Amino acid sequence: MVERYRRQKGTPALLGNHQKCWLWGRHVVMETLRAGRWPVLELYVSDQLPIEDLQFAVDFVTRQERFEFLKCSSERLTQLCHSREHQGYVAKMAPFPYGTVESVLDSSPVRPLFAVLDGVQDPHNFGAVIRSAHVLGVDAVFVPTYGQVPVTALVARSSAGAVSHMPIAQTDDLLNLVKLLQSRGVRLIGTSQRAAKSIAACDLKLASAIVIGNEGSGIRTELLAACDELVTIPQFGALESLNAAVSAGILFYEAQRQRAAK
Amino acid sequence: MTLELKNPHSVLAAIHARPHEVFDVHLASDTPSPAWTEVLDLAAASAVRVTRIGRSGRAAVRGGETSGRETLMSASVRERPDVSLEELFGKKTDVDEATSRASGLWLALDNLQDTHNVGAIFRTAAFFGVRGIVVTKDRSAPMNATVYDVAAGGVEHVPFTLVPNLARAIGIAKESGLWVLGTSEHATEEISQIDRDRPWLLIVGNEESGMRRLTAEHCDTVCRIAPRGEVTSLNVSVATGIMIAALSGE
Repeated sequence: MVERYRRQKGTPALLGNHQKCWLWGRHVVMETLRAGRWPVLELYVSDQLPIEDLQFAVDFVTRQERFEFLKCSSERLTQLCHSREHQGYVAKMAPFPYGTVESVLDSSPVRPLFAVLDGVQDPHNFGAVIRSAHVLGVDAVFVPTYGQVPVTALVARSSAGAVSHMPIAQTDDLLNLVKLLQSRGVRLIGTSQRAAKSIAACDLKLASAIVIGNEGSGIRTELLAACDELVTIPQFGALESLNAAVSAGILFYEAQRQRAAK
Repeated sequence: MTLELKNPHSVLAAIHARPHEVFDVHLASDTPSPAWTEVLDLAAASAVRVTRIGRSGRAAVRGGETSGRETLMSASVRERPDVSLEELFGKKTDVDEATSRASGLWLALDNLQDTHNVGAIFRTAAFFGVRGIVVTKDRSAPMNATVYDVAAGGVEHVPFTLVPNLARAIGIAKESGLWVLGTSEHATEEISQIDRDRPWLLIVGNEESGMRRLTAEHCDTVCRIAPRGEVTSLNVSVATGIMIAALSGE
């Protein structure tokens, strides 16, 4: 994505083009600065912020090397990020630092719990999945490079800052990744409405990777075929499908419940 | 009031549930998506009027929330009326009391602000067969078209009651034999430890501030979902989904 925008020598790469490289909102900007993983290039704060908040922001700035800190009007902030919901904080972001599959696998525990996203399209769903994954103890999230919404400002906002804490690795070939995971003893768990087995009957204490499908089409056939086990979330009502982020939350919670129970 | 629905799945559910209250399907494309094609077929079978909107119609909706051909298709649907609390919880004198209210799950949304969250909760509730939802009326997200669309048909399947006073609704729930389960990050009991064999009214708090203190005082039990990460809370619609799932089933 980012490489499409030709940049001059010496200027840093951005998250998107000059319109789309902004992150806004007090909580998510502060969380990103605090975590220190996703590089912030410039921080714009409103001149109407209370002095304690400014002091807090300045403390961060002095710890960074190449970093611009600018005070400006609230209207200017709105212009930059195209949203009124900035709460006095707008940051110019570098590209999101995805992990590599190898580095993520190397730093995972013995019996890891992973999430593999198969083309989640909606930034709010993607953000909510990362947020749930982080809260419910998922060790890493794998996403395909193509057919999947990348980590954008909207995703970061909807994750409530969890993108800065959750290892997220990008891969060009999800099927290859799955083979690699399986060769390391990780079981691939897919969900399908037609599966007979309930999620509660699936042993998630073992090394597992839970596959989350696309909002419209679900998990693609090849990936579904590669799954070690297909499970279903039992339906008791009239409606046949759940929101992708909600079903991911239910699956992660079940894994966490089983793992906490010992 | 009439709502303009843009999600084919919410329109499908509305035509199935109450064809007489779907006034008009606006056809804006010669090649509608499979889901809209299904809507058109069902509309024809249910004698629902389909109107083709021309260039001017397109111009009018352009610049809305999202762009793209899909959003140009829509349908005018009457708002679903809410029911009385007595109807929602069922009367104590009902003959089938022993079977119908030995268990079962109801929800109460305490000042939720985001229509997307409300819609997502209705969708999950319809999936798990939640019996009814109490929705606060004041300083809360309205039951508008976004709620219907995000719920993808869920609003048609779950009866709801709009209330100005949640404490009073909780009182009526208790009189009807329901137990009241609150949710809070500070609770000590885990949702997975809650006894499923009881009729529960699960209270869902506001996105920012959670349940109000006054609401919390009326709860029989308060539970939580154990947080582990540094961002300590879940999205409210995800958290509600996890709790409904934990309380549903045998």
